[in-house]
Amino acid sequence: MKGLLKKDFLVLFRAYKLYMIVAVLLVVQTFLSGWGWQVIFPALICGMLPVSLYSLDERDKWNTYALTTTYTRRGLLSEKYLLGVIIMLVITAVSALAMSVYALRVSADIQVDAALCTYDVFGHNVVIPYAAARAIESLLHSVSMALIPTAVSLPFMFLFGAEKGRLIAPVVLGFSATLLVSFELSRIGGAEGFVDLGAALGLAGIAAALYAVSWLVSVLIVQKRDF
Amino acid sequence: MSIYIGIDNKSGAPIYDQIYSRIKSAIISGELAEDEMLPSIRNLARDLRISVITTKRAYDELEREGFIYTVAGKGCFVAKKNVEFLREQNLREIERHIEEIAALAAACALSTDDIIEMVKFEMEGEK
Amino acid sequence: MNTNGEYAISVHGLCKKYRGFALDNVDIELPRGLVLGLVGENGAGKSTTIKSMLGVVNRDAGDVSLLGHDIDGADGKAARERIGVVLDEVGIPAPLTANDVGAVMASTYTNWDSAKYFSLLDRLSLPRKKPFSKFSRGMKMKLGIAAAMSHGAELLILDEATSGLDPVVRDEVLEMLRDFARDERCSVLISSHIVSDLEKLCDLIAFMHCGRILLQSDKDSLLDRYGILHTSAAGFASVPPESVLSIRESDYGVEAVVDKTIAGSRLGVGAASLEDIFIAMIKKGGSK
Repeated sequence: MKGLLKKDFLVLFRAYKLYMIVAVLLVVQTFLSGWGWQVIFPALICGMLPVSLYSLDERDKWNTYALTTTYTRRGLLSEKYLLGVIIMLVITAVSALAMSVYALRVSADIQVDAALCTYDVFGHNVVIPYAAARAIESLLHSVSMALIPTAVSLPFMFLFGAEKGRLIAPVVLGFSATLLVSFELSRIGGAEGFVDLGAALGLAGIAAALYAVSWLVSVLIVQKRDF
Repeated sequence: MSIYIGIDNKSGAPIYDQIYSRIKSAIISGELAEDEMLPSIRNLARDLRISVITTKRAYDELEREGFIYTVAGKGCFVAKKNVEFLREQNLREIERHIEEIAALAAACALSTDDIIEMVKFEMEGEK
Repeated sequence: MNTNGEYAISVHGLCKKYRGFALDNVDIELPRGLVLGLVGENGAGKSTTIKSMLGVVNRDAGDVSLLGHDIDGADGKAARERIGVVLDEVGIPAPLTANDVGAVMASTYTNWDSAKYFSLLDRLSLPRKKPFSKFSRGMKMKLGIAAAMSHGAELLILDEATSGLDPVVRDEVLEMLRDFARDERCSVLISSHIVSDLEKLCDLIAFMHCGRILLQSDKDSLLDRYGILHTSAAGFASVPPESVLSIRESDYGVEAVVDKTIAGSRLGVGAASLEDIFIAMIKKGGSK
C-alpha cells in the first residue's frame, strides 16, 4: 500500500503540476475573497484526482504490472480510496488555512457583521459568530465535494474500465454541482443570518457514507475483473 | 582449467554425445589431469548455450563409466585413470571401427587380405 | 538440490474462455533451476497463460503453483515476493523515472536491494532521471528486467521480452538471463514468437498453438529427434510416412521434417532448427 501511495504521489508531482497550480490558485483566490462558494472548486478539482490517476494507471498498464508484484486487486482499489481521503484532508486543511489568513486580514469587517448563531449540540447551546459558521459550512462542503466525485466514479471505472468509465465524469461533476446549488437555494427560505450547519454536516455525512458504500461495491466489482 | 569444447549444431550428432565424447577424449588423452575439477554443469551449459539437462546427461554418463566423480557440494572431478578400463574402452572402439570397415569393404568388394594389407601399412606408418 | 518444492512452475488444466478464444487445459511444468521457453505465434495464448498463471486474469479452471506455493492461497504473497515479472508492455507509469521506480519498488518488495538495482541501471546504461515515457522499447524492457531482478527473485517470468529489440540489446538481455540462470535455485519462463531467441537460452521448450500446448520437451532431445530430409521424390517413397512431420515438394525434390527415431538415420538428413520443428508441428496440427 505504501508503494502504491508513493507511486501516485510521484505521478501527481510529475504529471499534474498544472493541475496543482490551478488548485493552489483557486485557494489563493479564497485568500482574497473570503469563504463561501469558491472553496468548493479546489475541492471538486481534487475530488477528480483519484479517478484521473486511475485512468493513467490503466493507460500505462500499471494495474496489470502491479498485480504481478505483491499487490492484490483489493489493495489496488483500496489505495485509490485512501488517496481520495488524503487528498480531501489536504485540500480542506489548505482551505481552512487560507480562510484563517483571510479572517485575520479582514478581522475589522468581521466585527461589522458579527451576528451570532446559536446551535444545539447534544443539549448544550453553542454560540459562534456568523462568519465562523459560514467558514465551517464551507469546509464541510469542501469535504463533501472532494468525496462525492470519487465515490460515484470509481466503481464505474472498475466496472467498465477507464476508457468508458471516465465518460461519467461530467455527469458526476454536474451531479455534485446541482446538489450544492439546490442546497444553497434551500437556504433562501431559511432564517436570515443563520447558517444551517446541521444540513452541511448531513451532506458531508451522506458523502462519507456514499464513499464507504462505493468502496464496498468496488471491492466486489474488481474481484471479477481481468487486467 | 579450460578445455575446448565445440558444439556443432549442424553435424547431426546428438549434442549430448558431442559433450560426452569431447570430455572423455580430453580425459583419455590427459588434457584433463586426474582430480582436476570440471566446469560445473550449469556454467558449462550456459556458456555453451545448451541445455542443463543435456549437460547433466553427459556428466551422468561419464560418471557411470568411471571417468569422473562427484563431490557433493563441490562439483565434478576427473577420476583416476583405470588402465584396464581404458583398454577395454579402446578395444570396444576398435571393434566398432572394424565393423564399419567390414561393411565398407563388402560394399566395394575388397578382400580380407586387402584390408589386412592396408592396416599393416597404416600401423607401420605410425611407427 | 531443490528447496521448497521441486517445481518453480506447475500449472495443470488451466482454462480461460474469451469471446473467440480459449485456453484449453494448459499444462506447464518447470523444474527448479531450468529455463523454459514458451513458443507460439501472436495470439496463440502465451500472454493469457502467463497472466492467468499470476492471477492478473481470473482463470475459469486449473491449479497453479509457483515456487511450491498455491498462488491464490494464503502464502501466494510469499511466492510473489520471490517472483520477478516483465510483461510485454512493461507497465511502469509513464511519468516516472528510474529513480522513482526504485523508490516505489523499495516499498513494494520486502527484499528490495537498491544497490543491486542501481548497479543494474548502470550496467544497462539506463538514465536515472528520464521519464519512462521517453524511453525506447529496448530501454523500457531493460528497466523492467532491472526491476524484476532486484528483489532476490528465484523465478523470472518474461512475456515477449525480446521482441522489438535491436539485435545488440536482445543479446544483452539474453546474456543477463543466462547469467541469472547459472544459479541452481533460479528458474526462468520466457515466452516469444521468435523461436531463434529461445533456441540458445532454454533448457525446455513448450510449443503453444491456438490456446493449447502442443508439446513440452527438453530442447536438445527435440533437436536430436527431428531432422530435415532433402531427397528426391523417388527417395522419399522409402521414408516411413508416420515419421514425416511436414513436407514441402517441388519439381526438384522433397524437403521434409522427419522424426529420426522412426525414419532411422539416413543420408540427407540434416539438423532441423526449433523453428523448423515448430512450424512443422503446427502444420501437422497436433502433438506427437
